[in-house]
Amino acid sequence: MELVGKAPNIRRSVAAAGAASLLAQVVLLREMLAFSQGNELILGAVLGVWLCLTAAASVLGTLPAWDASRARRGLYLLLGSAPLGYLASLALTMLAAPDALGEAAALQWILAASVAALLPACSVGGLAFSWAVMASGEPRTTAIYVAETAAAAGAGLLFHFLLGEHLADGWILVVAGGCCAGAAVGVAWSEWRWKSLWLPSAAMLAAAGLSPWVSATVERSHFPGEHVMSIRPSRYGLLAVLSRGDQRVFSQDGVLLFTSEDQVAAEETVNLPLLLHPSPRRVLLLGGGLGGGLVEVLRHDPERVDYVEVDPGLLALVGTLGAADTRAALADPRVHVVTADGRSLLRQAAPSYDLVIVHAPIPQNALMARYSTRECFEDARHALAPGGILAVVTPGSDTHLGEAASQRHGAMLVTLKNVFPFVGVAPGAETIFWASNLLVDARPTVLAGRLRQRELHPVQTGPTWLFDRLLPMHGASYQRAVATASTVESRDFRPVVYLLGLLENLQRLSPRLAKAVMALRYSPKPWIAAAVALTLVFMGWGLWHKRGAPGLAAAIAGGVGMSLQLVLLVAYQSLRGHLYHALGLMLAGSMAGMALGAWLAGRFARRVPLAHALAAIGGVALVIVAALSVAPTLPGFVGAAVVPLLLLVGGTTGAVYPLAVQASARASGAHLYAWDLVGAAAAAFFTSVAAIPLLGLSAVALVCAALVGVAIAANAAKA
Amino acid sequence: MLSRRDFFRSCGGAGCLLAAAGATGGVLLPAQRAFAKSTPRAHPARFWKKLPQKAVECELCPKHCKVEDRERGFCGVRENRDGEYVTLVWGQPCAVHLDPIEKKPLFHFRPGSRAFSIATAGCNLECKCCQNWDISQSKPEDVDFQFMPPDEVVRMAREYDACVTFTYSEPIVFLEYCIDTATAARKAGVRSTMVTGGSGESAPMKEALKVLDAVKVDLKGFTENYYRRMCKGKLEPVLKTLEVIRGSGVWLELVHLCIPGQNDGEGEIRDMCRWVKQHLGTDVPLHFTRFHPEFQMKNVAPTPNATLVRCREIGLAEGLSFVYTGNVPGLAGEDTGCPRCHKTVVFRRGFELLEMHIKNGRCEFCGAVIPGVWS
Repeated sequence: MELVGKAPNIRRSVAAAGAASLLAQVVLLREMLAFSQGNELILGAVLGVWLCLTAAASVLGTLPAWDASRARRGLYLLLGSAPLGYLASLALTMLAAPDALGEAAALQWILAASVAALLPACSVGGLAFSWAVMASGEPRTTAIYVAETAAAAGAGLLFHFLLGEHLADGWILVVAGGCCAGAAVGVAWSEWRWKSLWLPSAAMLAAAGLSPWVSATVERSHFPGEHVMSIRPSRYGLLAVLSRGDQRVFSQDGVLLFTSEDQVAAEETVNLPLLLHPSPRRVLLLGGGLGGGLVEVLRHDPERVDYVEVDPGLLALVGTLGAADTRAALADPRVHVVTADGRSLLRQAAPSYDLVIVHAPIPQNALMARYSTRECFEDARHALAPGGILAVVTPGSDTHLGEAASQRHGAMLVTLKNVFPFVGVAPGAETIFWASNLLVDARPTVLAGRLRQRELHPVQTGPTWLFDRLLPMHGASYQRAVATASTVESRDFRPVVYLLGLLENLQRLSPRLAKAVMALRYSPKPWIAAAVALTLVFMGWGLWHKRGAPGLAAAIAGGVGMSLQLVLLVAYQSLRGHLYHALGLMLAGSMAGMALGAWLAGRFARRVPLAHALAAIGGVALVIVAALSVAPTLPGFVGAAVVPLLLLVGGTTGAVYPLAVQASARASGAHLYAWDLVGAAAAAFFTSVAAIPLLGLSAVALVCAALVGVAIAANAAKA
Repeated sequence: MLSRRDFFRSCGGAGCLLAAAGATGGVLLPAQRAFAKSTPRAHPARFWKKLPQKAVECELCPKHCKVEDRERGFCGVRENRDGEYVTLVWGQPCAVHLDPIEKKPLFHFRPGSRAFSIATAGCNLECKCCQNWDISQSKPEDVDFQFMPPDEVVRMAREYDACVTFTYSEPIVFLEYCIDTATAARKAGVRSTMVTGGSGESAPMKEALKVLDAVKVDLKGFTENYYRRMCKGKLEPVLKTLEVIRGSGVWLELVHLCIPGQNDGEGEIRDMCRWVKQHLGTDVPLHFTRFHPEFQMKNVAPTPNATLVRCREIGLAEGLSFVYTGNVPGLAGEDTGCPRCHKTVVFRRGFELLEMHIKNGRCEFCGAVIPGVWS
């Protein structure tokens, strides 16, 4: 029986696949992030795997030389069985599950598991695009591309505003599968009528029946052998509370946050900063409070403690399941809990704090790195009362700082010294930096005296501990370790500490790979060799393979589009703070821009050369460079301009695809789609993990403009 | 045939690429300072034998690495150079620190005193939970070391009125340095201690024990499966080392780091305590310490306090006289009790000595001998 259908059904089917793919992508990436303990290095790699697998599926889909009818049949079967495919992907994420809670799997194993887990879901997205193009004909490629990106934008909004916080991952995938199942019926209804319901209905029923079991099994695999008291999604990840007898363990996306028995750790991070100030009456605590830090601060009897915790879901959990003394501290009238972005609070605060304590863990993502930048320290300086002290607590070492750690510490020290005239450090497993406009008396005798004055009897951080921690010999060892460290200060728009944190985490996952990456960072030879090789390759390609130019344009547009998006997202976070829903809105806006750009290019600009569309992307990149340069003086304006700029980036990169299809005499729409995804995959990994932290936002945008120039040169048409 | 337009197109594109590379290099390279690496000095190694064709076999630890010319053993700090085995860490510690002796932990060795602690890079195990992985899993050229010959170590220890302690990474891999330094320390009247995983061969250990005053051994687990999976090592050699140390008369204490779900099962703990009692005696102190997330177990939660208390109770029930909890100041199990009158003879809080009621190695209350080195 042949399936011959109308083009709108095909577009709807691709739209459904696009929406479903986005939902599946977010859910599966979140699972992989949880299994890899929130490491953004892994996220970048897994996102790259997703895009590459989708590209591969798109190309593979063109191999069978099907006519329109066969392609529609293939599309029906694919979309009809998609609900089970997505659930299979979710189940396969357990390949990356640790043997025991908290253990890091090997990097190569996580990547291999990603490929296996994402294969079913990526196949749906890639094959659906290819077969939709086959089913409706090449001239409708642009319409299909527009439908897919527009639907993905809508799905992004749906997830962030509704589904993400209220549905378990399994059910979100059932919703995604439902979109595909409905589209499958749409593809085949006109011919098969009620018979077209069989496959999608069966798949949906099976998926709905299996979903709770799969979800529960995947959830349990995050916590092998543990007694789970609570699991709930929050805006910032999957929160879990485990019980081990009297101990309560709080984690987020597999990352250990704190336990109910962390009194000693809390003492070690909070007591020293509080003793450095002769009389801390107003204290601001950014992070680290729920694991006992708040309790310790209150022992020093301040008048007011402002505690910032960005995740209301975590606060709610601690309010019911946390340690008794922490719950009591949260209810103390002196404590004011603020659920907002800490950087915004610092920026807006009056100069009233005697002490600001910032907990700066090894940054797993760019968001965390914002608390180790010059701008953050400047905001903190303005929030300090005369004689106030900023204390920054960050992981270090009792005995020896490794290379990546000493680089990170060096960057933080340099950044602090560029803002404050007086900076001190107490090295240790939790290293404490302090900075002030006035010289701080950090003699152990003085601090021990304050302990007595305040009638404090800490369990661990008594006079002996103070003398040991501040021993000149230990300080000298530390200074020697950071003497050859980085001298580059960390900025919001060039978060060097973020890269160094990633390297530290990489050292744990794969010491050999970390060593190779660090060697690459310091040696100019590989970079020069790569630049020369790329130049020679381009020269050869440009002369001998002109027909590959549209593919090059698609790849560069995809890569540059992804890079500029990341640049704008990081800029937004730095300027306006992290607002989870706003990020979802921005990503959806970018995709909507792509859809709009593709539609406009396909409809109204058929006679516009590809090179002109590429030039538009280059122009947007240069506008971003200009905007970033004025951001320090006009932060409000530039912050508000990020969303329109994202729409422009989306619109200009979206316009390239239909024009590339038009210009290409050889590659099919599916091939060009694959090139687009490959470019985006490379950018997803390289830009977020290396380029932005190393080069800074402006330089990345400039490099993007230069790469666009390459694509323009390759596609400049003959008269 | 290449047209003029094509030529200029290619040049334009190449120019853009070079500009991109230039922008990258221009921003990236000047601002970085490479980690200043020194070349470690070689020093003749001991405890090895020659093999044919310039190969050598190391006899320091049970791995018995067979090392070809210009290669290194598993530990990464001993190298074959033209058929001669050398150590690359002699006199080159990368970690130098002053700690309370209770931090090692050595509770029955001069309480309240200090340990001048040194370590080099390298280790013959690969523990997933290693607290000092930065140095233990590094090669000598990858760490920031300083040259500190034995006399200098002893001089600094005397300056701080401390004993010398070989610790942090794995002293067995720098045993030549330990022996030479401990020998110099003994001549100068300074005591020496060692903190080790215990995975060493008997002959080298006996050599070292001649000049050591105390040893603390990490008994990481009590099953071969644990040692293989978590440490890439073996249990049997560690047990053998414990018997060698006990037989030498050098003061011995044990530590078992309790990792939730890995080595804290009641059966395993009981077996361990029974073995200690049978083979080492009831007087050997055993510490059950709290695990702290580190290295490849960064997100494993610390040991619950109740687990440490339970392990201690098992140890006491099995007849061991001195069983402690560690890394949780304030938790029951930090103090030393007299095995006869059961009064507390040493009060501690964390690493701090509060009170001591031991005189000439005996309980002040009933006169019972309290095993240890008290002065």
